[in-house]
Amino acid sequence: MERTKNQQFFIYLGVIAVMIFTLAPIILLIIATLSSGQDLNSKTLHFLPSHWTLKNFTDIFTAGSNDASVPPFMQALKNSIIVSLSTTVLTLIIAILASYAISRFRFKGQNGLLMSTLGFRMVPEIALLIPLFVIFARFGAINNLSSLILIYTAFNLPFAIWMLQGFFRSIPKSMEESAYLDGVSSLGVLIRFILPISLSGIIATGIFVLLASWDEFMFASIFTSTYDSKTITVAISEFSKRGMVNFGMQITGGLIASLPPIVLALLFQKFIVSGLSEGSEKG
Amino acid sequence: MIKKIRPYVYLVPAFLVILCVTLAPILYSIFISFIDLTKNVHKLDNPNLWSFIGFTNYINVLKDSVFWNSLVKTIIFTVVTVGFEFILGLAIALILNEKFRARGLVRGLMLIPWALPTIVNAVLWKWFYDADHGTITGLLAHLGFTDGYSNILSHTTSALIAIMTADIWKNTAFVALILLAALQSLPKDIYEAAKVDGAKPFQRLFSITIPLLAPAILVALIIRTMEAFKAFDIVYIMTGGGPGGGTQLLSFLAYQQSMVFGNFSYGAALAQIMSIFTMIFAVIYIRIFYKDRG
Repeated sequence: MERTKNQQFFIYLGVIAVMIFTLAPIILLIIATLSSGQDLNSKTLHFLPSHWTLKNFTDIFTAGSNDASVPPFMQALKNSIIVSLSTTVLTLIIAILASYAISRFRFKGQNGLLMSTLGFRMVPEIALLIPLFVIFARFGAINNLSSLILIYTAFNLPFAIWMLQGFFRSIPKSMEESAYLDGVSSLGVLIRFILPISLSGIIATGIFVLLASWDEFMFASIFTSTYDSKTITVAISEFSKRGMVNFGMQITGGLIASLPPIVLALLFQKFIVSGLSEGSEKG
Repeated sequence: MIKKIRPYVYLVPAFLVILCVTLAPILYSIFISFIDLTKNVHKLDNPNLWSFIGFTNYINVLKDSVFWNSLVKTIIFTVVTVGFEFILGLAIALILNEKFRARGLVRGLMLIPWALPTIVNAVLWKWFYDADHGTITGLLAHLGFTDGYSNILSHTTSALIAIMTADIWKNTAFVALILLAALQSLPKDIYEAAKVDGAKPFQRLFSITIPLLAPAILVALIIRTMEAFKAFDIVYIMTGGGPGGGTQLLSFLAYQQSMVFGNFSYGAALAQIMSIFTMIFAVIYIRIFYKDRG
């Protein structure tokens, strides 16, 4: 729609307001990570540091190496990478198989299954935290990255199945039917026809699972008490617990933890936006 | 025969994981909510010590003023944050749907708050509101809204407002992204027709755009309502439920009762009560989904 000059002016005013709203906190975050502890702890309002420093970054990458009361950030980063990547791969494999069954075969209980999938997606995490903690503690499966991976996989499955079966359903069945006539097995049809065509949907689903497991805090904080098993969200939360709050480290750790999801979101922008709208149409 | 069992074979892994890590724990949690575990969690390990006390745990929760305070705070938190996120998100989506320079870049930047981990968002806003060196605390003092630096997170009302602003900032982006995607898929010719009919911009917004966006709006609202209702991270980091229970949202109360005080029965009963609320949302959600599909 064409806009008059006057309308154009207000549109740009609106865009500028939106950008300030969106970016101001992020810019303040970046500036803070480059400020000295003295600047961060001063009681005067200032937006730029008195001098720029990378000390927060050197501090965080050596965290825990000479002070046992500070969680080692690098270890936590590694743990988070292991947990979120493993969760994503495991969730995708299991969800692809299940979505294939739901979208391609007719069987008893199909609708009920799909609806209960939606229901499981809505269970408040706290309702699972209590029993899972009791069970995992009983079996000594605390402080174990595999336990976190299993739990995150279970949490993400309903959502992943819901998304993927929607993508699979939108693929026409004609090609598969001729493949079946040629004697290709059902697993062969899945791998050779369905997976390549729905790759963008699978990537979108994978990114959502990856971001959700990278983000998770409540379970990680309860299920990990050793530095060997803590994830990045837990490490960041603990930079403040030991006596004084160390904002420099918390904020710098926070910025580093935000980079992978932000970069992924920007790189796969198209997938995410279509995934969000697909998700909002299909549930 | 093989044809009949084939779909089930593909479902086995998903079924096993959900059975063991979701369904069984839910049933176990319901079981825990009906037995007396006061002061001794280890009673769980020994079936001889299980004493079923019916709905006593639920009655204890419902008789507890702490629960009612928490429920009220959770409802305020949910209604206010979702309300603001909807209004701001819709406004942003409408602006970003216009034609302007660097539109792709601006739309891309909207993803940043959405992608920012919740825990980082909480840490960031806790720092903004810090009593001694927070940016917002400083701004409020300099602009004369507060008498010098004040401890925003240590007053009941201002602490609740503080955690709500943090949530609103991050999740407005989510609502804006969903509504923008829906706006882009709207047919353009309807607007041209309305323009010919002489409809004013605001009339177009309320009589055309919002009704056409209704499905996306409803889904965004329901997803946000359910998320806000179980908000936890932001409370844990920013206020720890304080001051004096001022920001003690339900998830945090259940967490505190079970994980901090070891009161698993109370926590489990409270979690079931929360699940009932969520089920109500779920029913609404599924109804809308089916109505949508016709």
